[in-house]
Amino acid sequence: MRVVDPLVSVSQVTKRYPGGQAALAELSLDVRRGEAVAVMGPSGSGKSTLLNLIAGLDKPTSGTVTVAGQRVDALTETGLARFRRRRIGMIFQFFNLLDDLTVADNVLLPAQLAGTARSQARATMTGLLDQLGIAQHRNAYPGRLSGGERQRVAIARALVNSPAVLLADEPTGALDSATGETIGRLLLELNRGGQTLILVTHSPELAARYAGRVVRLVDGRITSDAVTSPPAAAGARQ
Amino acid sequence: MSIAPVLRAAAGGITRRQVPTVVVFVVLAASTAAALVGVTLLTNANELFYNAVATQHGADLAVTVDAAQASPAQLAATRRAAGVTQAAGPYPAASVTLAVSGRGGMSIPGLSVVGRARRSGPLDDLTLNQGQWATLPGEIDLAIYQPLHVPIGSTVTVTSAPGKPMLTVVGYAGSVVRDEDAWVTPAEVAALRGRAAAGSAQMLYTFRSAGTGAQISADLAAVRHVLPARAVTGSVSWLPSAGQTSAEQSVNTAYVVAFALIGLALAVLIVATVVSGAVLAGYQRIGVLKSIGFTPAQVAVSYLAQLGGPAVAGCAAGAALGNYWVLPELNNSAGAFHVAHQTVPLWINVTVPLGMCLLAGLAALVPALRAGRLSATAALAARQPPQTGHGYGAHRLASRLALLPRPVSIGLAAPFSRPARSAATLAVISFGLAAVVLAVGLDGSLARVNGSAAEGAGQVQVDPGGGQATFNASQQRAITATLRAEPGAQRYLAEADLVPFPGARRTVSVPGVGVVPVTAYDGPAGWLNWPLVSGRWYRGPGEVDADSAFLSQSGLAVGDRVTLRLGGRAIRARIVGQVFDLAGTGLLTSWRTLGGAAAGLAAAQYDIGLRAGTSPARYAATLARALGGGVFVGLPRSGAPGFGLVDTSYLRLLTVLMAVLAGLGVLNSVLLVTRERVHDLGVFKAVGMTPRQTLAMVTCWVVVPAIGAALLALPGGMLIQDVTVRALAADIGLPLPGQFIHVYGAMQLLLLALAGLGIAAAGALLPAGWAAAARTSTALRAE
Repeated sequence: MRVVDPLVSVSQVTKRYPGGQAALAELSLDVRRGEAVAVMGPSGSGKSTLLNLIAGLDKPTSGTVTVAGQRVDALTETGLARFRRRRIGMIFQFFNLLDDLTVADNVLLPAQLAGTARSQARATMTGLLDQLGIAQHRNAYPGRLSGGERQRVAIARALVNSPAVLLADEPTGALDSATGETIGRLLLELNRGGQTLILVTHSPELAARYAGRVVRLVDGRITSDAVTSPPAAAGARQ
Repeated sequence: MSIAPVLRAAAGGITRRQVPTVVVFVVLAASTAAALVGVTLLTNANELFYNAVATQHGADLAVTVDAAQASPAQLAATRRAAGVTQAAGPYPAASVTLAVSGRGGMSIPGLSVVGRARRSGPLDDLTLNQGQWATLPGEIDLAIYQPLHVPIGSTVTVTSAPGKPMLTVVGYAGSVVRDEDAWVTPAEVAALRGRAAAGSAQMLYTFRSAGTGAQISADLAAVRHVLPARAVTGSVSWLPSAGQTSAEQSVNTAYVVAFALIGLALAVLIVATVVSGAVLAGYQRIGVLKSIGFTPAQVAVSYLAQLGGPAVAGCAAGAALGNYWVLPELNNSAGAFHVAHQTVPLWINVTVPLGMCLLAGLAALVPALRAGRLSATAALAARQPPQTGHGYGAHRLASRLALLPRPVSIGLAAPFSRPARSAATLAVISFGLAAVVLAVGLDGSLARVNGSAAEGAGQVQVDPGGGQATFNASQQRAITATLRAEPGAQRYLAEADLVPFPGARRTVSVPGVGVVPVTAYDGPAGWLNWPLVSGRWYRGPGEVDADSAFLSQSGLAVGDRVTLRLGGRAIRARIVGQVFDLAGTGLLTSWRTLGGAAAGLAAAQYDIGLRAGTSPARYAATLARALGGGVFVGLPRSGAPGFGLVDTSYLRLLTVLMAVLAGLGVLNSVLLVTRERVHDLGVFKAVGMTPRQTLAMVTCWVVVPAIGAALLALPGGMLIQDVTVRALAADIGLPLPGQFIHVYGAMQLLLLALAGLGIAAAGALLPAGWAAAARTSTALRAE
């Protein structure tokens, strides 16, 4: 059997905010390429902090975070920005789209910041909008779209640079259940296509249905880590 | 209304928003200081002059009398002339040419030297500004306002006097009415009189009425009436000195008022922007205050109170700073006029800071009332100012600018998303840039006017020495031969000066005007570049150019014919141009218009134009050595009355203040936008924007307003400069050539436009740096 190195490795990480308790306490977690991991737990358990550390949006107080062989905790701000462009796609609960840019410009932005050739970036953007079923909205502004459409735009933006890891922070939290279901299926399809996915959610149903592994956090510590189905190893993306 | 919770809410607001608080403080401190300096300078100039005239017993009229024509008894009789209230003199006087050793033989002709045993007297107490009073033979005190400035203890040569005596400069003194250029002991004057100059005496008078030119003319006529005809050879009244002070005040008024208005506009704009920004950024806070029971009035007062502390402190600091800046100038002026040390009047120290506080309060009132009227639920629900959907087109267009990096194109389009904020930024940059444009233009105009005294004279001059009025034939041959031999001279010409001074051999008179000074050039003189107000330079015999004083005196205009009388001949000529001249040149024409040497004209000066790259001072020194003794080589005098007195140091101080205020306005504006868009900044960074790209994007937010500001401020500033310079010219009664007003070159305008961009970028860099350094996760959490 082939030994697979973890794509994401969080080792002995503690995150302490000024004047507060540790949001994460000596937490260790490995995620393999092609896995779909759901991180669950009550409010304040450290789920979003863990996601921020993996994305390089924040730095740990101690411990190491390695993604695709790169020590994220040791990078400068500029290095972190470049790391996010190349390795990370992020989806947020409230979409975080830029209201004064069109759908196409929102999706193109990470590719443009990364210096991707214009024609290549546009081709990728067009393909993603087609794949996610929002091609007809390419010239619309986010404010005129439904919640589900906005989250598809956010997913397209997260995927435009073909990231190693897709991080989703409560991706269905601001959506009605039917739309949430659609988005969940979409994430599942992406994972089946080989996309590594780390999903933060409050919803046990979402976790059970769309993730192959569920990690539970309480007070910044992992209380359980269970594999519910094998990872989609075939055709894993880099 | 209970005030305690309101003050606590205000204090909370101040603590939360330290940068806008500091901006309000600095803006009000700077604008209060500028206003205080301006108002003090405006009120000070005239007050000091009249104070000095009173304390120093300034004479209304100084009359120079030919001592050979009037006896001491006749001079004494003038004390009883009609209207005379007090008289002093006679003081022996002489008109001399002084040369300075070691400056290439530079010489200053026509200086009036008076013999005074003591500085004080019944009239015209002289002030000693530096050194000591001349009490011994061979000593001289120079007037502080004459053009020769040499260190005390150095020697000057009286080249116009027989034997060219040397005098030691022992001090610098001044007369409040500026009727003399230098003073020596009475016994020394006799030795300084040239062979051509008869003995002169100076009489000083005050009159019952001497407030206008007509009254002074009547007073002079009364004195003349007592003396033999032709005894009076010259007179100086106090009016030019008063006029000079008045002109100084006028130009100071013009530019200080212009800068004060710009400064006030900036202060109002920035204060209003700070408070409205606090309202916009504090939607949730307003909602919370109202939900816990604050009335609309209490909310409004809490926002006004947020401003109150820094505003009052800023105005007080500004008043102190203004006093600190202006006191040395007040004391300098007081020293120059020898009146008691001055302080800023109490009424200025009270009204200026109070007025600025009131203005700040009024600027803050509208946004504070708006905060009070906001609905609590709307404010709590919105948490942020509502998005209006502005700027979509601009962003779409910017996204197509493939040549620009994406952060730059996003930054360029950003101002269209917040048009009101961008308009305020544009206005702030416009005012600051207009101040810079005005200052540069004023400086340029003043430089050209001051430089005009040196125009029309060649870069180097050769004058006769040894008391001669003109060169003799052998001197002329030697000079022309040397000029041809010495490298450096590109061209030269001789000029005959028919100046109406006592004993002059040739004078020109014009019917209805009398004797007028005429300069006649022996050759083409267009290269002397006399500045022309209108018309053109003469092209040949029969054409003359006239200065403004002649045209005003004669009632003639460009295009009119004029009859010149010289040695009994009538010469008809046409006035073809009006020259700008402050020295009373009269008429300028060709040597041949007047009949040349056959008519008795003789060269009184050589004007030399140099090849490019030749140093005038070095050439003058070389030429002086080559010509040896007997002639004097010098550089033309510079400096122009009225304009020369503009205080350019304050001009520069005010310009820097305005630019700093504008930069602070931009800083405040960009800071507010950064705060409003902090969440978007987090998103940009989350998708991979580096700190450098963030810095570039935020800095580019101000580029479009800066370009708009340049389009407004360049013509605006030029218009204000045009109006200011014309007002100054009108005040001293001289029309200016267009080239003195339109001083901006294309490259200079481009640099000024870039200066607007510089002000904007300097203001934006700090908040852009903060935005670039902000932690992404924090920015994403912010709402």
